[in-house]
Amino acid sequence: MKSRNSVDFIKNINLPGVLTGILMLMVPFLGSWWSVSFGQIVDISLSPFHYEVFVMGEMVSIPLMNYVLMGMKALVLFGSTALILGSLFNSKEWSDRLSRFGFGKIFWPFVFFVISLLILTFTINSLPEKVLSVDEPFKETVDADIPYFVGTGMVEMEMEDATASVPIRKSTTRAFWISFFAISLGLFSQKFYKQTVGPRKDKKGSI
Amino acid sequence: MKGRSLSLVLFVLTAVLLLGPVVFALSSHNWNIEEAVVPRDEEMRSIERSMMDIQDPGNFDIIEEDMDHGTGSFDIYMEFDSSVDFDVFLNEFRGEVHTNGENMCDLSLAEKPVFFEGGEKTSFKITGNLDRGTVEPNQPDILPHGAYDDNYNMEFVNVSVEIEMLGMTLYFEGIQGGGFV
Repeated sequence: MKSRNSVDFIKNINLPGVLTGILMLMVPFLGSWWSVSFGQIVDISLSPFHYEVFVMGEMVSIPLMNYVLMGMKALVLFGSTALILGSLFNSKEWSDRLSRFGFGKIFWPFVFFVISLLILTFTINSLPEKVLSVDEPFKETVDADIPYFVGTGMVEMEMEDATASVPIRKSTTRAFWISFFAISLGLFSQKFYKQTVGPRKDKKGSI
Repeated sequence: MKGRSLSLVLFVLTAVLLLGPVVFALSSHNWNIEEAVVPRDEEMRSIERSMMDIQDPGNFDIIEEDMDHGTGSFDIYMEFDSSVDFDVFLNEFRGEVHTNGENMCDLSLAEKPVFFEGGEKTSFKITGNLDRGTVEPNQPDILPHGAYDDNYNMEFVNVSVEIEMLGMTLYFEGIQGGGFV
């Protein structure tokens, strides 16, 4: 009887969910997801759990960000624990709620991160040249061609007899793709696996 | 009921982990938002210092000049003493030297680009050729010593400089100025 329970328990485990949870445990410690550099003048690396800003090689830190990102790390660690528990005890009534909560802690920061970067770039690229340029104390025009998420571009500033060209480079890191993989696996575990492969619950919530 | 309690616990925990750090950050900075958001003074000062370096990366000196009085061609040996810790490339340097309003010679880099290693002294050469119609080539010491002589009323005209540093390219065109250095 006991061994049958063990077999049932193992059979009911949502394995993709457990793997997603394990990956989620790693993600906050893998560093930044995305980076942008303006020549060698400004270097910014970001993720919802990590940031690094270097201006002329000097590191700049924002105290509030340090605390907020610490909270984000704790939240995703808590979320991954919830997802692992929810996926292990897949047949329990509370597993769905716990898994959804846990998965959301990586899914929503990822979506929010990507969308906000796209919106920010779209806004800058859409700004008319007039807004970026100034006439006082001397005429200065700025022409920006910034890639949306990854790629290279150029910001050109013209002032009187001088022109400054600063190349922009945006790139994703390995941590971004590991997170993307974790999210894809998580979506599979939440949507596809539960409906097709995983244990089905009847109206009373049992298998 | 159990489900609702679980949801409530998860919601409260999320709120605490999101808002708690903000409250903690503000409380540890005397509830001063500016203090919590703006980078520290030391960081800002070191950035300012670095910005100053871009504006003044070092000094140029004339070391030696060599002139062929027969042909009118001359070389000016210069030295750049870098005071910054980043490298600078001088990709282009072109200009005209006018005396009393007339073009006396064109100047350009003998070899380009010139690589100025950060914190080091680098020598490089500027070449030119005197316009025979304007100045007698056999006139001794016309350049660069003669350049200091106000009687020649010398000035740089149409100077173009292209500098590359810290990944950015700076191009100056049409610079004018009196005096040789």
